[in-house]
Amino acid sequence: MRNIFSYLTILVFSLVFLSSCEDVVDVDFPQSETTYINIDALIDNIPQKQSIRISRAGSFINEVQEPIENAQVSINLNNKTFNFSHEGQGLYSWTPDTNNYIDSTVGEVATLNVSIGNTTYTATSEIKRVPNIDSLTVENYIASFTQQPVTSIMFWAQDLPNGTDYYWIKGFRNNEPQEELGNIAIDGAFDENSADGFIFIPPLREFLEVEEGDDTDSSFVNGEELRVELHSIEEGLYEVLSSAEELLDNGGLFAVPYFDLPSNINSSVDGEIVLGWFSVSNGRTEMMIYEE
Amino acid sequence: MHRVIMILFVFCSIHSFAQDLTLSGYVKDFSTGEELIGANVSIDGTSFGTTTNVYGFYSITIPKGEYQVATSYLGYKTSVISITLLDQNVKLDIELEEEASVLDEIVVSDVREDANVSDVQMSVAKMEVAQIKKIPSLLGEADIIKAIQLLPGVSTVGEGATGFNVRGGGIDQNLVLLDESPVYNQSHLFGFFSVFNPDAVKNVKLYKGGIPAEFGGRGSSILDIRMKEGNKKEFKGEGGVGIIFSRLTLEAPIKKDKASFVLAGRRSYLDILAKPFLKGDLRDSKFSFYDLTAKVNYRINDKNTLFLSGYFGRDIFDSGFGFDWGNGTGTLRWNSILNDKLFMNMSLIYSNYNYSLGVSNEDGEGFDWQSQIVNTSLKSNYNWYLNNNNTINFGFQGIYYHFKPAQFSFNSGGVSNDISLEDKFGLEGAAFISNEQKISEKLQLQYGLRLSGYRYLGGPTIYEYETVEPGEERELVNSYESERGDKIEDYFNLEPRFAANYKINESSSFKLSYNRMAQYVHLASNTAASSPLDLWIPTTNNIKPQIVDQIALGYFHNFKDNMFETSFEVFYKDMQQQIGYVDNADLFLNENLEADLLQGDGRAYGLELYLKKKKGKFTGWISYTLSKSEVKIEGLSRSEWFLSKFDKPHNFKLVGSYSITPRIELNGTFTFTSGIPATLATHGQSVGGVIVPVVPDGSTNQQRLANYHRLDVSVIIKNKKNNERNWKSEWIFGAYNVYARRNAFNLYYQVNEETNRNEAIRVSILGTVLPSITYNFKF
Repeated sequence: MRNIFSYLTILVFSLVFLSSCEDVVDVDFPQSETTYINIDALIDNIPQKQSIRISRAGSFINEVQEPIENAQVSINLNNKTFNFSHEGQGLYSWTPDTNNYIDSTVGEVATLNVSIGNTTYTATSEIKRVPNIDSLTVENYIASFTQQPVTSIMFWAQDLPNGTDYYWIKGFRNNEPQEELGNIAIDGAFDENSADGFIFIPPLREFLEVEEGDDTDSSFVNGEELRVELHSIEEGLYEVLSSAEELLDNGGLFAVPYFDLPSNINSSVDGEIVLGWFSVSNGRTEMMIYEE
Repeated sequence: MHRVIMILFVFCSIHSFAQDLTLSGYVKDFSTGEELIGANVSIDGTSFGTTTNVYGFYSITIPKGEYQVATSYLGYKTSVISITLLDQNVKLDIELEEEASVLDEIVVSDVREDANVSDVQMSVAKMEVAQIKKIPSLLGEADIIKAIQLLPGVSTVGEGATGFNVRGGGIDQNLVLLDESPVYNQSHLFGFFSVFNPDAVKNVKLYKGGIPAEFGGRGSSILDIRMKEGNKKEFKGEGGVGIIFSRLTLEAPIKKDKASFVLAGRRSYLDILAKPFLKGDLRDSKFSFYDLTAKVNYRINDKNTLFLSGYFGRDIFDSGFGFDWGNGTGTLRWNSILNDKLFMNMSLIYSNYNYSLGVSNEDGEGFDWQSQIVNTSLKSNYNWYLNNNNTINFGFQGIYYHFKPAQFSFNSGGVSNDISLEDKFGLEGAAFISNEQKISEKLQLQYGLRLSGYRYLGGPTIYEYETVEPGEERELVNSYESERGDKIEDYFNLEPRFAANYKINESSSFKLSYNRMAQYVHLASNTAASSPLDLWIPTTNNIKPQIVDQIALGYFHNFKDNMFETSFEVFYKDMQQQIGYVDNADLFLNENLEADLLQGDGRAYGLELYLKKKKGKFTGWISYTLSKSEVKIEGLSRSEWFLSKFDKPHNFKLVGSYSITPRIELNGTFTFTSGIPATLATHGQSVGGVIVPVVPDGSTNQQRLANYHRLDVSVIIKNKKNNERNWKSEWIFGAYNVYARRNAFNLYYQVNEETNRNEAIRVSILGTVLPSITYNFKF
């Protein structure tokens, strides 16, 4: 009898909390045969290799991405032209050097030019202002929800007051990006109406963190290189990133309908749908070597 | 309105010079004193007859003479009373005795069993609570909302989803009334159970079309739920113990035949049961839901009765993170027989839906979020039994809305902030008049007019937006402060209503109906299923009222002495100012929410077939709906028509009940519907090197989930009645989703972290069979 009771209890309990079950299924409805030019050109002025991906984007579920290998890619800024060369698999890159680098004059507008066959694609991006990173610190605390110890690497910077600024924050461990798309912020917080001139609030300032107990393999080790990039971006890219994040996390009971991302890339062919965004963000980076 | 009433009274006084006399009164249940809604009162040997109104009142005007008055009601013995109308009007309250044999063999003699054919109303479904209780249900809990989903033209987007969809309309297009008070969220536990305790409910009626003029404010349907009044003769109780919650309802006279009450409560005990299994931080978790329904009535004198009823329910989830929601409603009602031909109901109504959400730690970090919609309403309607061929219904209603979209404060890293949104206010008013007229023995009409108006009131900051690019977020062009109570924007709508019944013969008829409905409040919900967090928003200077026109045509036929009832209906609905959303619309904590909302056209059409067997050892029905529901909003889905999120072309339901012996009954339901449409990603786009699922051409609801089907069964075993203790009880053993089908609730895409491949994930609410045991009792 006791067993039956326990079984019923668990049954009811699981109905509430685990009621929804999820399983991988085959998609049996027809997939669109149409592909669209996809120009993924998110670069910055940090002196490091810059890359642009160009492909024809097809079905998500069938993973159709056809690299475009014959494009001409260049960026104009301040009367300078930076030519990107094809590395393979639709990846075009350019590495700045002491003579040839992106000048971060706030307010300057960079232009992207891509030609594929007879079609040209253009886009522009404005350099925005960015604050300096003051320092990086390591903090240990107990997470309030899970009660697990957390090691958190924080950057300290203050949003520039007066005016709305959009930021893109990326954390790297030994130069490996840690979050798929990093974090985004407005005025050092999450919302333009509630913040201005804030020191980046937690959790935004925690660009890397490891919670003990969920995965001990991921603990920071002495000598590890930890680095943050803080990019000031245009509102449009902020929208793209926040939407992309929502689309990647979409799921569960209250999933929202999928939608299209904004694009700032224009085609010389009237009415052509082009996917992608061009941005030259004004970035700052700071690194530290981890020591316990 | 005053003028209309005056004119009506002038007519009334002229008419009283006639030689006819009036017989009027209430029809009640003999054992409980409960008024019976829709009971038939007829004068034997004549064509005079009427039915009781929703308050149990009837009035017939006939020439002087001696008559036999026959009164009948489904499940009750027909009463025949001799009366003599000599020189004055007669007041006659009639009490009907319940058919004793109901439990043993179902032979109910009921002359009004042909209501399907003879009523002027079409597109109406009335469900007996006893019938609802027979339907196999999730964990054995009889559920009104789930039961009406088995009717033609009614569907839901999925298991455990809140609300229901009527003839291709949204869930916010249903006006759900509990004793005349709107209930904004009808769900416990997201959508698994409805908030109505069936033990406290007397009558359930769903209007899908041909909606009478007295109702308005929603586009698609009216679900009119009436609570029991409370036993006026003796103390009675009933209840049940189930797996998930228990119920207890008590009713008793406060003063015999003068005043009585009913009190009904339910509480879930998930948390109590689960406690031994919870460890660590979850130990203090709370998760429960409960509801309380109460009503008292007081008969002041023969002509005046007062009623006070209320509902209060709440769902609570608390496990470090608190989330609770619930409705509260209250109705104060005054029924008055102004004269033998004029019946008045006046109601003062209050309704409130709110939720709160919050988390905080020892350092005071966290957030607190609350949202609420409150409305207060005064409604008055009058039934004027003008003569044997005309019954006029008129009245008015005023509703004051107070919206509190979000009170939100947070504290993070020592920084605290309040980003609450401003409250909004609206005032809705309506006046209506309609006449139910018997043109001839064959032709009966019901026609009316409702004039509704709405004012968006000042108080909050007023925003003005401009559409720059259709389908994109609208741009703010102006904003200004407003004074509380100021007129910001007015809307008026004239809503004609019409219904006709042409009787071909005793057993079949054609019916036709038309209605226009105006809707001034809207539910902003962009997910497949609505969640308790979804916001009710007012009509404003930016959001226009929704207008729905519907025309329906039907053929109704009963056969085998009304043992079988069939109907065949077709409908077409034209909907204006339907709500749509820009991509990635931000519906919460967004002061510019209105900039993210779009409005466009909708249309829905279909046919409904219904076959019901009402008598015999085997009872039940088959219902099938073939329909389409579409939306067209400029800028969305290439500005072309696209399927609405609740479009279900096929909707098939089979409900059966078989009495094996007088004490054992077998019940089953089978549901088969098309899957709901979904907007799924068609392409993968690279963003910073990450492939993101997108819909580049912006098409909406271009895919459809797999068909939904499910079988539920139950066995009801009635225990032998204990005569000494007057105790009746039964066991219900049930199984929900018998063949454990994993019906898709929705589908989404993700990248598998291990294989790095893109995959589709099906979310099912129940992937298994759910057995249940319930013990019900009555004393």
